[in-house]
Amino acid sequence: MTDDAPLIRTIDLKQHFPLRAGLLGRAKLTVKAVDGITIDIPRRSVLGLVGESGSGKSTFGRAVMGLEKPTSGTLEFDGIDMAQASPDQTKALRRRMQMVFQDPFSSLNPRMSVAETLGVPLRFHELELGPAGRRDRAAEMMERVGLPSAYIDRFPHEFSGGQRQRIGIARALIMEPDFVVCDEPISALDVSVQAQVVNLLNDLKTSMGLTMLFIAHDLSMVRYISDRMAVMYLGSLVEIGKASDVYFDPRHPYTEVLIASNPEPDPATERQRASTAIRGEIPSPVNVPAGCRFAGRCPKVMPVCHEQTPQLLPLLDEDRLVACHLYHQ
Amino acid sequence: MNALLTVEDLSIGFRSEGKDVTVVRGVNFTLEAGQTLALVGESGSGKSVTSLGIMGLLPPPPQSRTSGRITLHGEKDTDLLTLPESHMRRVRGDRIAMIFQEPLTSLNPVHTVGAQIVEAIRSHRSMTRKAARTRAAQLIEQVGIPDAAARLGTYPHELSGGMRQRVMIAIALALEPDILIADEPTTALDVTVQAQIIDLLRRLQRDTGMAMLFITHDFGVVADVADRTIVMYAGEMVEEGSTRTVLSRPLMPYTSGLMSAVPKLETAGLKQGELQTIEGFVPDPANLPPGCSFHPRCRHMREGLCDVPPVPLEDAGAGHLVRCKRWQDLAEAET
Repeated sequence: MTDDAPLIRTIDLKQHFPLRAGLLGRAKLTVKAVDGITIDIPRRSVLGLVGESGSGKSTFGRAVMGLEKPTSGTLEFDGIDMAQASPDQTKALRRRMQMVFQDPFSSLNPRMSVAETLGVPLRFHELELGPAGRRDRAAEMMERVGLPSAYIDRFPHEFSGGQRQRIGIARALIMEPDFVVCDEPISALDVSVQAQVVNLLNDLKTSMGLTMLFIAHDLSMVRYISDRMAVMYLGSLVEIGKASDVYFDPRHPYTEVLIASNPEPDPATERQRASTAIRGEIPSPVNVPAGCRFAGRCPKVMPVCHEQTPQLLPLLDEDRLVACHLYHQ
Repeated sequence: MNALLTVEDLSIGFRSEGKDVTVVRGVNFTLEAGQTLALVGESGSGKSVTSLGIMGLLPPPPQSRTSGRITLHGEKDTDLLTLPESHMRRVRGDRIAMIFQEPLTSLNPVHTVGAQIVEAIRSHRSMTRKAARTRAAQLIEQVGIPDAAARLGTYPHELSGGMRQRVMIAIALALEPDILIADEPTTALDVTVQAQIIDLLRRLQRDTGMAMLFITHDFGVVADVADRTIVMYAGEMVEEGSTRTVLSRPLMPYTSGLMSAVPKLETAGLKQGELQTIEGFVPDPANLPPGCSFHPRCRHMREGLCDVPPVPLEDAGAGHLVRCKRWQDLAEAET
């Protein structure tokens, strides 16, 4: 594989879940959680994926990790089609991808010390390391994520939320993966600790040459860590571009609304500003509306939006993809 | 301006594993009619426990200990902390109502939305079931739920998070309280829905003239709703002032640190990785550092000064209060 080929590539990836309804479970409905995502994640870059709850961003993260078998579409890791990979290949690829979860309280085993938690992936993948070797690697990894290695025999309840998230990060990175999916890694943390964890991930990205998918609902934090940002709504992508371009100059009306809804800690702009609230809430992914999925809530809706589904197409002279009829007529 | 609610020297402690732990220490503030006061802080700051103390929702002694005084205008200067439960039950709902972060756990899953609003009305007012139902439909409409009459028959699980929070607000408003305590009411919601709920609360406050005590960790929300702001840290008030002053000219290093830990549009020029952080974490209330509780994390800490008690809340002028021994030299260094 050449170095400029993307590490992750999805082509029209779909993840549907059947839903039984009706008396005998016959009338089958489908939750279209991820409905046709095509995206590349270049090597050593961070893709920020944002959207509201129900947008399908976490399901996409799980699909990319291979935790769910996609309904259709292709997922390639380092040029290898995951659906065609042999069991040996899959095992080898698995150790190259890791995940950091949202809740550092439920994602750690309360009965395992840090040494044991960090030792588990090593026991599976690094058979030649003995117990002492695993302990050394765990201690080394703790220092890298900013935890004193003297705490190696402590249990999760002895740590604060931010420290637990560092343990979660250490567990993900101890195998020195190429690719890490971070699913809302800072949402459960206090404000003063969020910035610490974002800066840590940023440092580790550079020092370990990581490729990351960073899933979050907070656009301002996503912008800090991401090279590119993708905005998801009801199972499909509405906008992709350079993270700062998307944040400071959003093109899709949904991205505009998301950014405008985020309150700024500046009383001068806030209390005087006109209401930015938009109508309605994200519809159920069972009843995906025809045409543009955002049309029902869109402040710039046109008649065509209810009829034709807009395609995710590049804007002229710009490194940006937008799925909106305002731009492609 | 008349003080609607006055909290004087409020301290609250709990008994945990045989130890007494004080989680709210000497809190003082007044809430005026029609005003929104924000209590801001991280987890463990004591902001939610303060509001539970006002509502009389703390576990009974000896599990909790309270001292100080909470007076509500019109309650003949009685102290809410010592009010008998029967009387407190009347104050709750009637005078002070509360909404919480997670509406799903606050609503009863086996009763319809309508039944829950009707119950809230009828437990305080003598009103026929039919009249209460008409009032419930009005309330549902007032909080912006479309198709109000039909929605009375729905169950909480059939509603989205935003709609559930609207139902909670409808229940809170049912008895036209003077004060609404909102404890992180938008934290569990998506940003677009958060903006809707904040708009709704602002509109309702304008229409009804109620006062709001708004508890949050988000300075963005504070800027959106609050007239005055109190910043809490480790159970103490560390800064108080008009929202404009506190946000634009914070004097306590903790306040300014928290604000620069959140990326802003203004800081557009900042490159990645330049996000400022506050090192360390909130101290254990059973094991507070001596002197200023924030000093181990403070970049302006001076040994022999900041770690020596007492650290009083000082008046920096125009009702701007700050608990920092160095606020004057830090303010001078800035200018």
